[in-house]
Amino acid sequence: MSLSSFLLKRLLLSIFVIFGLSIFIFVIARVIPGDPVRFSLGARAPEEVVQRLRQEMHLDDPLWEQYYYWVRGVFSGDFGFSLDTHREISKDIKEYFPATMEMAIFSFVLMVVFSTLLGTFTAQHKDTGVDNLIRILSYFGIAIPAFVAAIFFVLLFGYYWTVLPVFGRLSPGIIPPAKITGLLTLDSLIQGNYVVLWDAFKHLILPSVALSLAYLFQEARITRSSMVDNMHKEFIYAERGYGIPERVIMFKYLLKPSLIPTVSMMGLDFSHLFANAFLVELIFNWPGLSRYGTNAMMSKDLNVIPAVVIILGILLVVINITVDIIVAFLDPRIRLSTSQGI
Amino acid sequence: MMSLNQPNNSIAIGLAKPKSIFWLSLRKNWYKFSRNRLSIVGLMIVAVITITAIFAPWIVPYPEHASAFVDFGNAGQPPSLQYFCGTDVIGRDIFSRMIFAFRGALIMAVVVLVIAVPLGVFLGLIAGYFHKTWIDNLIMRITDIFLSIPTLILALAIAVVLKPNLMNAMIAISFGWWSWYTRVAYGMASSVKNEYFVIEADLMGASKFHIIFREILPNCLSPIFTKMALDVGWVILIGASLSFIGLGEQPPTPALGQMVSDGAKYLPSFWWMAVFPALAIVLAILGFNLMGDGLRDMLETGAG
Repeated sequence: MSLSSFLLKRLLLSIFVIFGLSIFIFVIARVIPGDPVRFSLGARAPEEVVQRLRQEMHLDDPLWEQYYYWVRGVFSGDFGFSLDTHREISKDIKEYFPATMEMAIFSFVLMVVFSTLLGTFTAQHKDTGVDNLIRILSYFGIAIPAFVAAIFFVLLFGYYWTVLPVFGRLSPGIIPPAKITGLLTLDSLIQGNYVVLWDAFKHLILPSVALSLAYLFQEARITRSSMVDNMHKEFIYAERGYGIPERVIMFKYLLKPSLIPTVSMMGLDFSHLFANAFLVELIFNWPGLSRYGTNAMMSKDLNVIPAVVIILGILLVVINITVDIIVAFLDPRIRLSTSQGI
Repeated sequence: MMSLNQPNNSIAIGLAKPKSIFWLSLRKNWYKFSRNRLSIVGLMIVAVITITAIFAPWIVPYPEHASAFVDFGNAGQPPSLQYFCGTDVIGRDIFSRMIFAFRGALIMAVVVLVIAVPLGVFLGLIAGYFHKTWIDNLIMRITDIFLSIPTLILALAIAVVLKPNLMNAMIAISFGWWSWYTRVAYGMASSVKNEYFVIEADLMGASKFHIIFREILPNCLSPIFTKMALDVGWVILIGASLSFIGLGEQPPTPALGQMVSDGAKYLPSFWWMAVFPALAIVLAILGFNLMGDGLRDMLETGAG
């Protein structure tokens, strides 16, 4: 009951946030200097065509009316059309979004698995040579921006050591699987097409590693310090006293409470993965939403910019609420405090 | 180590004149900071970057290469003793341009923090002081909106509206940055305002201005400074990302991200054009992160 009322409050707040964000980004997109319609149709388009399109887009109405029309469209799944490519934005998004999602999910999995392993490992070997070495390595890892890592990967794997592809989602000549979810690896797995699965998987590796590298090391450090903090809690001594094997203590009793700070960070990082995908997708020529959004921003496509930002905003809000639920399940104390506090 | 250190200081403070307490605390803080060798490494990297950036025109081998300079005879030279990091496609020394690019990166970090921190802290203090009133609600809900979208996307969206140059990139990044300080200051202020010394100041008839800026603010400074120290590296990162896609300092003035993206076009054969500026970005972020961690340890244990 208490958890659900807490979530309800979170949800209402999130809806408000999305609305605020939509107003903000809509205004930003509409104050772009220059006539977007003229820009879209080209300098030689006849004046009456320009006028007709301006009317269709309600560009001559007051801003709040334009916003009204836009929101009405968004609720029926219609974001208008791109001024640059003249394609329907909702179709484009349906096409590009799964690619970004696939990369982000894969990066996230990499981040969770390796940061937990690395964090546990360094906590077990606290203050030894290995721990110090990994600490110094992680300082470097955190300082490497995703796009710098991407450039290094393209240089290394694209030209010198060509074991992994650095361009796009599939090798040329490979026919993509029939679209079910849009995630190539998942689709090909469902259809049992292992050639495509292997190829799509290989294409995923480098972009995802570049994207998750910095977060991976950061999470590992948080997990480590949180485990080290918990190591000397009484419940650990008690379990050791009961004769529970050290491995079980480590992974079952110590890791779970130590993951709470990591989980809340991970939710934030998952949303940051989408932000950083912007540059990584450009470099790896990954046909995703972020590359689409960047191109739209660079060509000042006032219909696409708010669409992409709003889609990302909704996505991040959903992630944040999910993280709140997971944290509440991991830590009974938080569940209790919500019942008292809110 | 603290117990060894503590008695000495208390005796010294007892005997010393008031003026030297400042120096003692400085020495104590320096001691804390220098306990971690990595912080010293970070401080050294930051010092080298800052000093070379400030004195760039007198230090670098080819100061004229930092602007519109063309020397096709030496275009695409690999790294050598003459050109430490090679030359770019129109024959400019990459090393000299990197040092000059640090100027833009540092100016950006300073300006973004100078805009974002006072604005964010001010709003956070006001919201915290008027905790649970409509002012609190108004400010913090607007803050939530800005926190809901990653800084890079927000900065991108704003930067494309403005003309691409360094100043506008800084404005765009500041737009995405203030909200984090609002949240930190808000959290501190809303708890500090219930402390007895604040209530007492209120009873004595102190003005709201006095209470917010003289009573509450000084008690919020430690986490704010900590966050600032840790943020410098991230501002440089976002700035480099923006300039990577052409939304920053415009050519011929060098910027690190712009140099990486220009160099990436000539990748396998002219690798030095992208690799050295990329390493420069990593070095700058690494230095500021290490130093920031050291400062955080110093400030946090100092407060407790």
